[in-house]
Amino acid sequence: MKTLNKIMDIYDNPMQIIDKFKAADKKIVGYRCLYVPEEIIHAAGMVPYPTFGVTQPIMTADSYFQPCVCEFVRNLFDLAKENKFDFLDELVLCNTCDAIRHLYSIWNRYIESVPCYIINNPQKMHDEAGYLFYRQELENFKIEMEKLSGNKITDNALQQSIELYDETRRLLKQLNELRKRDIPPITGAESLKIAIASMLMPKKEANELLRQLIDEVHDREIEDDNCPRILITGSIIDDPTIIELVQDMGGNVVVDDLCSSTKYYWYQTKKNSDPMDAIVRFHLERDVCACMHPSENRYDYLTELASEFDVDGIIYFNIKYCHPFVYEATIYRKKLEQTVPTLILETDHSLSGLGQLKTRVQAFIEML
Amino acid sequence: MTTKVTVPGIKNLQTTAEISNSIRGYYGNLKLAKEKKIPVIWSFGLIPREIYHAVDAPVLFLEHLPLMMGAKQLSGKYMEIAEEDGFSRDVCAFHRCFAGCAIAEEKDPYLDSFFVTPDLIIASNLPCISESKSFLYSADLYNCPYYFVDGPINTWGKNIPDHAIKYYSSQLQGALDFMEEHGFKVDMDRLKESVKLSLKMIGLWNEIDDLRKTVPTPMSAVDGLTAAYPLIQLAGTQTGVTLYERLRDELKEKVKNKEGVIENEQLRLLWVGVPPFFNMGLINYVEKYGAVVAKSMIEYLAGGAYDPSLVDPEKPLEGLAYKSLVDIINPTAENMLEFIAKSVKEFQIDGIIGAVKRSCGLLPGYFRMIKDSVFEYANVPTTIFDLDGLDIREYDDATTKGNLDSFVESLLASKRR
Amino acid sequence: MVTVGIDVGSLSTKVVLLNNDKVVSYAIYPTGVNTEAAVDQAMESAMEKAGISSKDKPFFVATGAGKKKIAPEKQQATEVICDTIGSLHINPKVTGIIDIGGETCRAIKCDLKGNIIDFAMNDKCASGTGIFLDAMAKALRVKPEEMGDISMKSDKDIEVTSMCAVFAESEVVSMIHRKVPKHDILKGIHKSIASRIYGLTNRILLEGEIIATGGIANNIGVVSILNELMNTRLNVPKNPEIVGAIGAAILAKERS
Repeated sequence: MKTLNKIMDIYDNPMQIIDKFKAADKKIVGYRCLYVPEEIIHAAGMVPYPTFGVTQPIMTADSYFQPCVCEFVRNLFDLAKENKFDFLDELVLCNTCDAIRHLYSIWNRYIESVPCYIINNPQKMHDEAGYLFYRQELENFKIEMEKLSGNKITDNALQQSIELYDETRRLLKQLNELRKRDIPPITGAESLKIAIASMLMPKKEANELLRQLIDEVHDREIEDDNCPRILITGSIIDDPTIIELVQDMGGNVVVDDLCSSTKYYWYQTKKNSDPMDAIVRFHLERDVCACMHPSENRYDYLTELASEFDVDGIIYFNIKYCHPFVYEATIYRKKLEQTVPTLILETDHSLSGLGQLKTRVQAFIEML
Repeated sequence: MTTKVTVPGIKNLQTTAEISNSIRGYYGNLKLAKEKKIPVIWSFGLIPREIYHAVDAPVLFLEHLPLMMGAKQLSGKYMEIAEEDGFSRDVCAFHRCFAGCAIAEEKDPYLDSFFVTPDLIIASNLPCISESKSFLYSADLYNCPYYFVDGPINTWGKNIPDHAIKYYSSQLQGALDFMEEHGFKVDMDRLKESVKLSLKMIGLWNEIDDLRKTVPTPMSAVDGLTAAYPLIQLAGTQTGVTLYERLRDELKEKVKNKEGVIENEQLRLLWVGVPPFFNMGLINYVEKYGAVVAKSMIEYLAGGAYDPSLVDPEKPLEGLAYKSLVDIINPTAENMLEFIAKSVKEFQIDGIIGAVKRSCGLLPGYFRMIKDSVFEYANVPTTIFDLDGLDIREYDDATTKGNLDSFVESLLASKRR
Repeated sequence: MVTVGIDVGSLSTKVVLLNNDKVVSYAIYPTGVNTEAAVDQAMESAMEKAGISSKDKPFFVATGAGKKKIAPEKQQATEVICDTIGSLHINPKVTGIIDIGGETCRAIKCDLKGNIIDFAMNDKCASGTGIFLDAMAKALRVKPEEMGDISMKSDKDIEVTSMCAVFAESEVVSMIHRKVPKHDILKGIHKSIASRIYGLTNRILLEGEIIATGGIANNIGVVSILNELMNTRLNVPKNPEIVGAIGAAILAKERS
């Protein structure tokens, strides 16, 4: 499994990617949440870099945010305070939830090394007025990226970036569709690491590796434990420990609906002569995020995913204080349980208290 | 060991007593509307109330009912009902309480006297994620149509750009269309009139504020929170204007006679965060030290803090969009910080009480920034401690009063230096 | 003139006699169930040490959890202000105070003029306080006052992961059964407490010269870990548990 190992190595050592970019004099623009179009950053000749957290206890962020704000966001802030994000030339956030919006304000006030920009995306999908609003916001964002890079972003460049990023999404989807099999050739934990590594890497390299990987694992033999098939959902999981936990407790994570995985790559841009319009529609037509409306669309997306992968159970892993997904779990639970058994869990982003989690997951899987 | 001692707040003003009474009348009208088979709307989020008055719709506001339950010490009970139905203890106490009221099959007579089931739901995402999510539960529960008003957040501060106004106006138009689809008649003249009255109310509210800035202050935050009811829920009505005219006149009298809430005013405090609705007596508690809570920031919800000249009643939706977007509670933080710092100076505040409601996703994120920017600007300290203004189950009187005692004592000591 | 400061803590009652800005004597007595009796005993002891007749009733100010039981309102003062005044009396240069008591833990930030800028308290939960340590001492069969010294022998990094004192106790018991050495367990316990306290100080971002007061400041194990976490050298006065009472006695002088 040469390619798989190569990708795992990249996942384990992300700084090597950063070093390469810095050596090539590339500007790196961090982003968080799926409504920041990477293509615009890329078309400006810069590197879009998804910011992930690190599994560690919260340090000084509690003083800036209060301990009752989303742990993932507090963790990102801690990392920024520890200068771990100093390699970024800018951070771009968007209008998803309260915590991310606060990160924008608090970051700008207290983190001096990296400026923060926010894209004001609508929270209503599939709406023409929303497209216009988002379009204007993206035009403004484009100007900001041009300023930062010193390069003009041409329509041509945008089209090329869209094609490149679409290819990554398409390949990741193709790879993960292999998990629809009775015996998926890659485990849930491996899939998450591959997805994250692909998001971090330059896309040309990622695409090449993914093509090789798909060939490599196509006929990979994995023991059939006849484990119940599980779908994991929630907002973001950046540490595969949680997925490994489910696997250890006897569940086969065949699909994960996360911001660090399927939500990112399940859909592609539709062909359009106006690349900005393509970008606008791509983002406002994929119903993956719990912060967006209509909620019914996201429910359909979730249940379709569950059905396509023939899952026996759904597990929500909600980060502590993640309001959008906690509400969603409450609102969907009864309806979901009519078709698929569903378990709703709250986890610390710092992964303390795994013991209790194990017990609940084990009990759930035994029931399936 | 927790102690639960709660005391209702002491109101000093005649007009606030009148306002309290008018609340009963408002809910009575909702009941009447139900009987007459007029569709009742449940409203979630800070949707400009003026659009409801334009169609003369009977509306139950999520932001108000839990408050009444809290004052009656019932909020904890209904939150528990919601939690038993799967709501997490980490989500907004207001939304949990409201959901509990909706879910409960057997309602207390007190709740029953206010409660009407929804025929329509209109929800917005301003100012927070709870507003944009929890209504879906009720929409399912009552199987009723809903309309979602998408309000862009304020990433621009004071100057809201055209594309934001355009978008939000289109959303408000959508809400009007939705109401029209379901039996209401949209009267644009009524809407324009409503906006005019709203502007009048803001003008009066600012006059009232100016009177509160005198030393000694004639009005504490206890009266202030009741007095905010028309501003937040009756915005754009003649009733609101009349009540505020009376309030302003009452305060003018008090200021003329140098009548303060307390005689020997030593300290003036600002309450930031959700007030202790089930124990408003806490606001009076500090008066024994000569400290008065002169103002509470939540009174500024949906009102104040914007430039009225930018609201043109002839273009009502654009005006309402602007007014809504510059609201200080809307993310991002720019407007709120500036406004609080300014208020601290103008109200001559000595200290800010920052009460953190742990289940809130929005307000806690502001506290540190408020603390630092106010300290930088005016050298005024803020104390931040946990206090859920609605969850009586979590309340510990001794701890809370310990925090207040320590803060007031430290302020008095500094003053004496 | 002689004034008295009484700090009625949940575990122990401290009485300090002050004579014109100088501490003349002090006494510490376990609070127990009868607060008034404990205060009387401590007062008697302190007065005796100072050579003052028990018939004299010097003016006093009371602080601590039990202050309401023994003093009228005008003679009560919060722990925050007493800790601050007491600490500044010992070291006028401090800008940070950490008081680790029996049931409560608090952090106070002041400016160089002695104005209290900020404070944070943890009184909802036992973790990080004397009560927790006492329970651990019992489980490990060591004397509370020896815990610090014993823990310094450890060079391991044992973690007590439970955030809650109740769960931590069962974690410790299972470690004892697994024959984990006492000094290693103690270090883990101290680490857990120090992390809680550190979290509290982080809420208000203490800086400059910081003093540690309260009974637990005597525990060298906790203090050394705190020094590491906070990257500082905490001032630990000779009798850290009486600092609050000193502050109360000074206030008594101001108020009499």
